[in-house]
Parts: sequence; C-alpha cells; structure tokens
Amino acid sequence: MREDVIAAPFFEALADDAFAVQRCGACDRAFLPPAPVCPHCHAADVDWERTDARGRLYAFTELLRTPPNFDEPAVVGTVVVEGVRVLAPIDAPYDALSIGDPVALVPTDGAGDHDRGRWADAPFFTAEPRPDAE
Amino acid sequence: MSRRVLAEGVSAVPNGSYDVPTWQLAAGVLTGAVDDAGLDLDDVDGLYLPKPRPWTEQGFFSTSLANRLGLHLDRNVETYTGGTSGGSAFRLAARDVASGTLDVAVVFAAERNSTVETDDYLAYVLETFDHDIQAPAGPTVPGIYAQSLQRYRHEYDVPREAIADIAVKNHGNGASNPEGLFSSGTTVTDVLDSRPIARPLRLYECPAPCDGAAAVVLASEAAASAATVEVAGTGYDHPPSQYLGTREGALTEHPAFAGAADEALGAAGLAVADVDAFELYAPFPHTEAILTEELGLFERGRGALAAADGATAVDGPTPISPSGGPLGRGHPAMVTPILNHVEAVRQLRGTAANQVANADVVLTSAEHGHVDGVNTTVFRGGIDA
Ligand SMILES: [Zn+2]
Repeated sequence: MREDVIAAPFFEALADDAFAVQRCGACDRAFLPPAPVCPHCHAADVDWERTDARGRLYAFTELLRTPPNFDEPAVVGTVVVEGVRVLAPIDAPYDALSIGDPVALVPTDGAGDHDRGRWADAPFFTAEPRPDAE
Repeated sequence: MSRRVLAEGVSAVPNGSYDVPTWQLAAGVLTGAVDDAGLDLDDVDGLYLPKPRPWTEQGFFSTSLANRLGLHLDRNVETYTGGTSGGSAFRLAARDVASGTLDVAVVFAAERNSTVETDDYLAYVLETFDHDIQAPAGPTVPGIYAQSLQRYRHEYDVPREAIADIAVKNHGNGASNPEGLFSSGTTVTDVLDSRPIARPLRLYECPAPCDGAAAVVLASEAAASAATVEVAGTGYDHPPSQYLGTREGALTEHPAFAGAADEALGAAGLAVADVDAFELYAPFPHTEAILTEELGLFERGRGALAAADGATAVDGPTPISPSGGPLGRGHPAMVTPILNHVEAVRQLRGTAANQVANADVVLTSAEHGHVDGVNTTVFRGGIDA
C-alpha cells in the first residue's frame, strides 16, 4: 500500500513550528481543509505553503460545556489566516478578546485527548494573541 | 410523469421523555397518521425516515418496524445528514408519490435523547466536524452558533435584547402548544439571566434536547380520500461549507436556505409574499432572524427586530414558528423537521394550537451543521382532492 496522505504536510509543518495552508496555482487562493483540488476553481495545481502563522480573530466563544476530555470552560474561535477560516482553541480569556484581534497559530499538544486517529502523535495548534502582528 | 402529492394524515406525540422503545414511539405516530389519513396499514407502500442516531436501541430500524407491523413495502429509505435527514426523507417520499412509484408514503421520525449521556452526545457531534483540523479544537454546535451570533451583532449593531426577544416569542408560542416541552414562556430578563452555554448564547436561547416522534402520510390523488393540503414544492441546497460558513460569504449568511426556498417556491409557482406562515428549523434565535433575511422579508440585520415589533408573532404579518419551533417546542433534532411539516398541515387545516388566521400557504425548513444544507417544503391548503 503506497499512498501519500494529502493532509500530511499540514501536520509536518506544525511539527516544524509552522502553519501551512494549500494554495491554488490557477486562481492563487489559499484553502483548507486539505483537498486534492482547489475548492474555488477545481484546478488540480495545488501546493502546500507555509505561512507566517499570523491571522485575525473573526469570531470566538467561551464553551461552558465542552466535549469529553476537553478542558471546561474553553475559549474557541475562528481565525482568518491567508483568507482561510480556521477553527482553533484560543489561549486567552474570553473577556480579554475582541473581533479583529491579531493572533498567531502556534503548535501545541491539542486541547483534549480526543481520538485523532492517524494524527494522534502529531501536534495540533492554538491561537495566541500576538499584538505585534501586522 | 408528475402527480399531485397530498398531505393526507399527520400525527405527533408531545415532546418530552418516554420510557418506551424508540420503535414503539415510531409505531404510534405511524399508525396515528395512517388513521388520520383515513387509510389502513395495508395501504402503506413506503417508509421514509431519518436513520435513527447511534444510541437508538434498534438497528435496521425500518426493516424491524415493517416486519413488526406486517408492512409490505415498495420502498424503505433511511436518510442520514443530521438535521436535514427528515426533510430529505420527506422530499424523497414526495418525489416517489409524484413520479407514480407508489401511492402512499409515510414519512416519520422517532428519537429518544433521554437515553444518551451529554458526554456521549457531544463526542458524537464532534465527529461531524472535520476530523483532522476542526474536531481537535473541541467545538460544539452551540459554540459555532455563538460565533455567528457574535458576528451578527457585530456586523449589524443589533441590540442584545432583540436576540432574546426572538427566544421569548418562540417560548411563548411553545408554551401554548400542548405538544411543546415547556408549559410556560419566558421573559427577556430571564433569557439574559439564564446560564451561559456558549458565550454569548444563553440556556434559553439553546434548543432543549428531548424525546419525540411525528409522522406525515403523503398520498397520490388516487389514494387520498379527503385531503385538503398538498405538497406544492420542495427544495434543497448545499453550497460548500462545513460549520464555518461559505468561503465567499459571512458567517451571518445562510445561502443554502435562500437556494432551497427559491427551489420550493418556484416549484409551487409561488413567491415569498404568498406564504402565510413559516415553520422553520431555526435552533438559535439569531438564526431565525438570518433565515428571514435570506428570504428578503427583512433587510440584513433587521430580522432580529421583528420579534420585538410583533412582526413574526402568530397574529403578525409574517408568523415565524407559531408552534414554537425547536427553541420553544423542544428539539428532538431528527423529529423537528417532521414536526414542522405536521404543524404546516394543521395550519392549513385550521386546527393548529396557535392558528394563523386564513393560512393558505406554509413554508417549512430543515437544516444541518451551521445551516450548511437546507430542505424546504411549501404546503398549500384549500385543495379539493
Ligand atoms: Zn483555484
């Protein structure tokens, strides 16, 4: 069995302390989740690209009830990085955050002990406020 | 070949807790709807239902039920796309009656959420997020809707109380619906004082899971005896999105609903202005506002003010969820779409608990995820079958 897992470079990047997205060679737009074609124009000319891991907080919540094995309460939000919306745990108090805040997506062990299957030993990521971002 | 599809019989049990097997709830509403249609079990040609969720005691649910009841089926269809499952089951049943595949279809759902632990439910829901890059963040469904509420208020400067007003309207309707989960309504103060679930969403702004069951009998004109309600059109739409909105649109837009409503209204030869009442699958208050905006009933950001203005009340110009909807009625998620259809038929028969005066056309919806996919149905009354 010889198959390359499409999502592997995403987790390899995290292991190298980087955050990667896919970008389309035809329409130049970035995207996630990992796919074999561009979801915007369906071109097959897609490549992984390591970003500066900087994004802006699009929306966020504090969960007073979380899935099993996740810390409770938990702050979770949506970060826009390279134009892509990414769901992420946020390492900051809810009341300290505002829409539009600059954040960095940094590798972590992940928020809970959810069964991540083939990525069980790979890093996940967390959004951290990073006021010095552009 | 396309034949008229009549909604001939309906049945539902009050939302609540039931200590009987799920199949027994299903058998009750199935036979109840067939009775209501003036038909016999011998007449039933097809069963269409959401595939019961993983904690249901019985697998091969429709096979088990058909065997138990002695039903010889031309079709049995179980759908499984979250909250749209019941709407899709309905749409497929209507299509099979319209095409002449069969004459009498029963669309039903039964669900017992009282048998699932909250942790197990949340773990099940977690698997509906992207396995690799969303689920490990630990999201919940209210946690996504909380973000669209935050964005909605942010983008349109909507007062917090206006959101609570929508919950108050729905809880009030649900309280006067004898099949609702709650016996009393609520107030804006109580909504905003209820405990936070996923900030800024509060408990009374979240749909309460419960047990329930409901059924609708669809029949061709050949099989129908006294139906006065027809299925005038159905629709479905699913742009690419999974919980975080479409890539082109804001989190506060639900284009799937607009697309599905256009299709159903177009099939019915009707316009939004012809609709007298809406029974919507709007699990959170701002979602109701956004759905009405998608229909063009209100400008963006103005839908939230409609409840406070009385515009969406039972006796208002645009009644939304006279039954209480998932917020006011309780929310057995797989059953909610069928309950919406049952309520639509009752409105058009003039027998609804919260009756809209002179209702001739009702639009229902179902959705899953964060309104990623949507079913709509347009019912028309006053039919002389
Ligand atoms: Zn492209």
